[in-house]
Amino acid sequence: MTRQHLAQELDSIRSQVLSMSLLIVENLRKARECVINSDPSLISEIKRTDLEIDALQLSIEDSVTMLIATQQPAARDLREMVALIKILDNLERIGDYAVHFAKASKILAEDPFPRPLDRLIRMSQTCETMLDEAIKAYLNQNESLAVASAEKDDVIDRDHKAFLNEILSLMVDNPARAGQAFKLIQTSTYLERLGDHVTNITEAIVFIITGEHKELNA
Amino acid sequence: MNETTAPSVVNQNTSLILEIPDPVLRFKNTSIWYGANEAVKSVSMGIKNHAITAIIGPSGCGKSTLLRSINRMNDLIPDCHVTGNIYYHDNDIYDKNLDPVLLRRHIGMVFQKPNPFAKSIYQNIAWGAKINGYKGNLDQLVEESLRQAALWDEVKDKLHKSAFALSGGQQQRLCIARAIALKPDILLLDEPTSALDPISTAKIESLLEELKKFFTIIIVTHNMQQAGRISDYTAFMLTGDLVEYNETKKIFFNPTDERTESYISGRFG
Repeated sequence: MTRQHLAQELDSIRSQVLSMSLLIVENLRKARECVINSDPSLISEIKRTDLEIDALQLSIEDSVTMLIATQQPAARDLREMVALIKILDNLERIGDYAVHFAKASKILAEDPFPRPLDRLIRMSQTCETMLDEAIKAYLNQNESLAVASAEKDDVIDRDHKAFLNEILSLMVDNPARAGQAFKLIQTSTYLERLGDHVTNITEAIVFIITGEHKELNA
Repeated sequence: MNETTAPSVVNQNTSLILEIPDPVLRFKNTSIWYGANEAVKSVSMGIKNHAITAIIGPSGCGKSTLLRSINRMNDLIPDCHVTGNIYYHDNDIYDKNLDPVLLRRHIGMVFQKPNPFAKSIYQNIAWGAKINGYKGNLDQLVEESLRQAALWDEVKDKLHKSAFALSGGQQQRLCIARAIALKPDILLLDEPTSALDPISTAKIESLLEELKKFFTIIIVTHNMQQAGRISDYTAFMLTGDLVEYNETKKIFFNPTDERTESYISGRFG
């Protein structure tokens, strides 16, 4: 086997993408904990990890660019490197949304919300599962797992709509809570967008595997 | 040329071998043998007019053998014989009544190493034309050929100096000028830049992109990036088999066969 250097570098890049994803999944889990407990104490830790995530994105992007410049990849290798730039961009945005999600705990700590936040919590769990599956699909080059991950975006969208209805009915009953309700709507929207970013990642993975641009979960 | 009716090309595997409508050249179950060794195995494919077709593959895959069969250069190799057919328009190249010298006037060739004649730059072009019976204005032909080969500006003031005084890259462009002076239909190039530096290589590559307006170009190259840069179609050969043939962008971005994928990605060869 020739091109050993290229193969080794690609393996190293994949490991770094995995590390970046694990940090994001961990941040999402901590953010969920913050929201469940209405406890913002983990936010500064989450923000520090997000800085690590941002730095990893740039470092991996540089490695990919260097590999394109020095190794002239073709076919699947080239598709993977082009798709990686997209994957990294989406991962970075997901990291940001994890921070936004954690910040919801601040408003809940200031004033406990009178209704359960089950749907919001479930949305965040679905996001974690989607991301976990997407990364496994990338590492194992598994198209059906990528598709299965993207399909879960529908569950997030349904929960988002239902949560909005719950919040809107609360606002009608209790207009004094409009400010807090508005922030929770924003939080739910962040999670809904997070699902879209994971879907973008799964589309990039399918592109690596098949060479085709397929719209998943349009 | 002898007139025969060529049957349509039957491809081995339609998903791997692209059909070329109205090809200028057609291989039909073409096998090329060196004695009992089948160096090219039943290749069927068409070559598109006014396009650059690259033939790639590892050493010994049969790509140069296939290229040389197109203007019957293999006739000069003892024990080499061809089965199946190669059609140039509707003429069977291996028809026993076909004159290979006449064929080579229609299908010119440039080799790996620049091989100018030990004559002046002018004579390198004029001499070949003269012995091929050219009756027109030789000065005009020399200038036109050198211009087409993007060499005129560099040599116009030293046309009667020895061709050996030129750099390797200039010598190769002179060989291209010499080949196109005969107004061929098809230009065959066997690794034309493998002995050249990157700047000379870039000049030849730009030249070929210009020349495809006038000629059909078939190039054998070891340099995959070169095939990707300049060719419109790429054929990948392995141990004598034509594995995959398609538009270059398809071959380099999303090949169908795993072996093509591995070769294009540099995992063997």
